[in-house]
Amino acid sequence: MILLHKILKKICSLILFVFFPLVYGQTDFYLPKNSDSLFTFLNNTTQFQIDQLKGEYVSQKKKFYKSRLEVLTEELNDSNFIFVPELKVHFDEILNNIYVGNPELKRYNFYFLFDRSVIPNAAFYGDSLFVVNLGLFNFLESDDEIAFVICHEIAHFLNDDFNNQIDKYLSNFNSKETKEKVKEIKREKYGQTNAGIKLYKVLSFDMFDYSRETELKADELGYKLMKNTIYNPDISVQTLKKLGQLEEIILSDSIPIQSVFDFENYRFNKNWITKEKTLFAVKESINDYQIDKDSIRTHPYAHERIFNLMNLFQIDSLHISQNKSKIDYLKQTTKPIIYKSLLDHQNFDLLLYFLLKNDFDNHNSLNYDLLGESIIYLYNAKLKHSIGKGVPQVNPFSKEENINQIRLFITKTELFDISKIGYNFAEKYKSQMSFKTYDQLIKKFNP
Amino acid sequence: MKKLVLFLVLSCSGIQFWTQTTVIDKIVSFRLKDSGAMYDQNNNVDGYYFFYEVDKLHKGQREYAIQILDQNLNTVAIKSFVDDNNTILISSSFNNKEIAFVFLNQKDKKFRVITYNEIGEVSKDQTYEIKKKELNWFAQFAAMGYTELLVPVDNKGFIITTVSDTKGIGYDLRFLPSTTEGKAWEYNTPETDSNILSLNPIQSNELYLVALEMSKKSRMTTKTDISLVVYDVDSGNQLFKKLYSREKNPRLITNSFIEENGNIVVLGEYFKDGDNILNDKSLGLFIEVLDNKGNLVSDKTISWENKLFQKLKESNEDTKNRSLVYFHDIIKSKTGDYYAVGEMYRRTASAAGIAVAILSKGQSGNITQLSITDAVVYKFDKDFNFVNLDVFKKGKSRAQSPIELGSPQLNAHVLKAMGAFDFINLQNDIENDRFYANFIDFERLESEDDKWAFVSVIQNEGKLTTDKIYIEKKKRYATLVLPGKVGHVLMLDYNKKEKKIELHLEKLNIK
Repeated sequence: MILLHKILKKICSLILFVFFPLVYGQTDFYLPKNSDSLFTFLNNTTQFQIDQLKGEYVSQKKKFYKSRLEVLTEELNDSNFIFVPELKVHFDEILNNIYVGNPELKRYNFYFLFDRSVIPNAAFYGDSLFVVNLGLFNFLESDDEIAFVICHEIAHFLNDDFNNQIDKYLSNFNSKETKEKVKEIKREKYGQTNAGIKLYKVLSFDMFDYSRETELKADELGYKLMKNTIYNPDISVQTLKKLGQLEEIILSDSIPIQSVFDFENYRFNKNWITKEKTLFAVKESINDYQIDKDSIRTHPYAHERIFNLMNLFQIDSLHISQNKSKIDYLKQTTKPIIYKSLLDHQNFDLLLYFLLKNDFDNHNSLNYDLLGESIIYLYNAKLKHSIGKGVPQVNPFSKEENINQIRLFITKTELFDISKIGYNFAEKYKSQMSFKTYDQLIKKFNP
Repeated sequence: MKKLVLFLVLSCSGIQFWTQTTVIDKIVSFRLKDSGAMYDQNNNVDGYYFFYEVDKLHKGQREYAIQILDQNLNTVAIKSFVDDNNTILISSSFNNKEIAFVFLNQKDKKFRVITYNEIGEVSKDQTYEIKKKELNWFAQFAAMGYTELLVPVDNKGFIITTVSDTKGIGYDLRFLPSTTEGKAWEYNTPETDSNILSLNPIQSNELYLVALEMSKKSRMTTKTDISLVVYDVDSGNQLFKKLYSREKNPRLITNSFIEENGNIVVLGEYFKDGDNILNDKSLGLFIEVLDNKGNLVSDKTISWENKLFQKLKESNEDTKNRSLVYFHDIIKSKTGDYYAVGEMYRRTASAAGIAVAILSKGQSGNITQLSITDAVVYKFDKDFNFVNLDVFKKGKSRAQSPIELGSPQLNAHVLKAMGAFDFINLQNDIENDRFYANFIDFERLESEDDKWAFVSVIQNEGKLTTDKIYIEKKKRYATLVLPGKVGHVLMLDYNKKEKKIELHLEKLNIK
C-alpha cells in the first residue's frame, strides 16, 4: 500500500479528526531516544525531495511532500509509532536476509517505522521510508510471509510508485484537457456538480486502475526479490490468500466475554450486548451517489493477485511455511506492546478482544492482571466521559459480530456495572492475578 | 471516535478525497444547508440529518441530498431529490417505522412532506399549498409555542398541523399513515368559523392524539380559552373536547401524558374563576386525569401556599419573591410513580431593558425579565399524591420578557418555545425505567473562572443523582454538548487552530 491516499486525504479534508491520546501512564516507546534526529531526518528527506523537483506541477508536488511530512509528524505526535529496540532487532534479521540475497538494496538505507495499528498491513511512504503495522506480526505465521510483505513494499520503492502515482494523479486531474473540461462545465449554468462528479469518476477510475496495476507489478518484483533470499517466494500465494480473507472481517474470533464477566454475585446482563434498533431495516447503507466499489479499489482482489503470480512464476500449489525462527520472537515482542498501546489510547474494545482471544484460555496471570488493569482504566474513562474517543459505537452494517459485542458491552454498561464487575473480577480470579492488581481492584471497587 | 468530514456525502464515495487539490473541487461541492437531530415521540434522539444543496438545475430547480445518520452517527442513507431553489428544511421526525422531513417553499407558499420507509424508499411525497397570511400566522404561532408542525405517532404515522384561513383563523390537521392498514384523515376548521384558533399537539401514542386548542373571539381580545382536544389516531374522530374557560376553571396546560389504560393526564397551573391565564397569577399546580371520553377521573390541585413549596422557598435564596415553576415534562415510571421536571423562575427587573427604555423614552425595551434558577423534580404516587420534591441548584440565567404585559407564566410559556430555559430535554429510557433530565448550568465559581456545564438529573430505581460535564471553551479548542441517544450526550470537540472536529458519544453516568 502506498501512502499517497493518506496524504491526499490529509490535503483535502476541511475538517478532520485528531486523536487525543490520554496519558495514563504512557511509556516512552512512542518516540525514539533520539527523537530530534528522527524529526530532522524526516525534514531533511522531505526538503531534499522538494529541492529535486522540476518539470510540471512542481508546486502541487511540493504540497504532497509537505503533507507527507505533516502526516508523519502528526502520527508521531499522536503516539502511533512504536520504537522498541527488541522489535527492530528481530525485524532487521529478516530484512538483512533480504539484503543478503539482494545486496544492491542495502545502499538505499531503508527506514522502517512500526505503527501500533492492529490491522495487518504495511505501506511504502515514499523515499526510503516504510511503515509496518504491528498487527502484521500478530496475523502472519512465518518469516517467509513477513519477508514477502517487505519485498512487496520494497518493490514499490524500486518501481518508484510513490512519485509515479503523484505524477499520474496530477497529470490526470490537472492536465490541460481536464482544465478545459472543467472550464466547459463551469460555463454550464445548470448541472455543474453532476457533470463534475461524472468527470471525477472517469479520472479517478483511471487512477484506481493504475493503482491496481502497480500492486500487481509490486507483487511480481517482490516475488523476484524474495527468490534471491533464503525465503520461499511461493509462500506469497498463501500470504495473499490470508490477507484477502481480511477484506471483510478482520476481527473474526469468537470471544468468551459472557463467561469471563459472569459472576455469581453479579450475573452477565444480556442487555449489555443486545443490538440497538436502527433507523432502516437494511443491510447496507443506502446511497443515491454510490460509486461502484470495484472501480475505486486501490488493490486488486486477492484472487487476481494470486492468479497473476501463479501464472507468471508457475507456482502450482499452496506452500505452507515452517520457517518461524523470527516470527515467534516478533509475536512475543509485539503482543505486550499492542496491549500497552491499546490501553494508552483507550481502545478498550480491541484490548479486550485481543486479551480474551489470545490468552484467556491459557490462564496466563499476566492477562488477568492486564484485564484487571483494563477494568480500572475503563471505569476512569467512563467517569471522564471519554470512552467515545477510543471506542467506536457499533456500526449496523459491520459484519464483525465479535468485536461489536465487545463494543456494545463497553458502551452499554453503566459506571456502576463496571464497578461491580471490577470487584467481582478481582474476587473470582484472585488466585490468577498478582496481589498488586487484586489490591488495586478491591480498593477501587470495594462496595 | 467518529470521523466526520464536513462534506460527508462525497467523502463516503471518496470523491472529495481526490478533488480538493485539483481544479474539479470548484465544481464538485455539496453545500450544507442545515443539520440537526431527529427526535421520536418520546423526544429521544434517534438519528441526525445533514441537508445539502447538490446542484443547480433548470427552471429554478435544485438537486438536494439528505444524509441520514443513525443514533450512533453511522451514515445509513443518502437520498437525493429535486425541488425549488427556495426550499428549506423545517422539521424532521422518526416514528419507529418511517422518517419524515417537512420542507417549506416560502416563495411558492407550500409545504412538502417526504417520508422514507424502513428500506429507505420514498413512501410519501405530498405537497400542501398555504397562503402567505397562513404562513405568517403559522410562524407567529410556532414562535409562541402554540402549534407544532410535525408530530410522530409511534408505528402509525405522522400528524401535520398547519394554520388555515377561515373567517377567523383556523387549523388543518392531517394524519399521514406509515402502514398499509392505516388510513389518512384530515380535520379542517370550517371556513365559516370566525374564532381565532390554534392547535398544539402535545402528546400522542398509537391510539390518541392530545392537543391544546387556544381560542379567542377576535384578534383584539385578550380573553383566551383553552380546550383539551383528543383525537382517535386511526379514524381522526374527535373523542372529546374539554373547555377550560375563563369564567369557570381557567387552567394553563403545559404537559400531558397518556397512561397505559388510555387515561389522559394533564398538568399545568390553575387560576381562580374569572382570571385571565395570560395576565393573572396562577394559584398553584394541578394534575387532572380524564378517561378517553373526557370524564374526570381525578383532579388534584396543589396551591403555591401549600407546604409542598416550603422546601422550594427554603432552597431559594431570594425568599421575598415567590418563584414559580415551569414544568417541562412529566414521565411515568414502571412502578407507577410520576415525575414532573421543571425549573424555577420569577419575573425581575431587567437593567438592560430599563436602560433601553430610558434611552428610547419608553418607546422600546422590555423592562422585565425572567430569572431562571434551580431545577426541580416532583415525585407523585400513582394517585398523584405528592411524595417528594428534589431541588437541584443551578446558576441563574436571565431572559428578557417577550410579552411585557403578559403574566410571568405566559412569558415562561413563550420563552419555553423560544428555548430560553436551561432545560434541554428529558430522555425517557423505557427499557431500564430511567429518565435523564438534561440542563445547561452556568457555575459561578469563586476560585476559578465561571464555567458552563451540562447537568443531567438521572432517575434510576427511584433514586435521583446527577452527572455533570463541563463545557470547555479555551483559546485553542472548545467543547460543545449536543443531544444524544437515550442516556448519552454527543460531545463535539473543536480544535480551532487545526479546524478539526471530533464527535464522540458519551454515556451519562449513574453514580
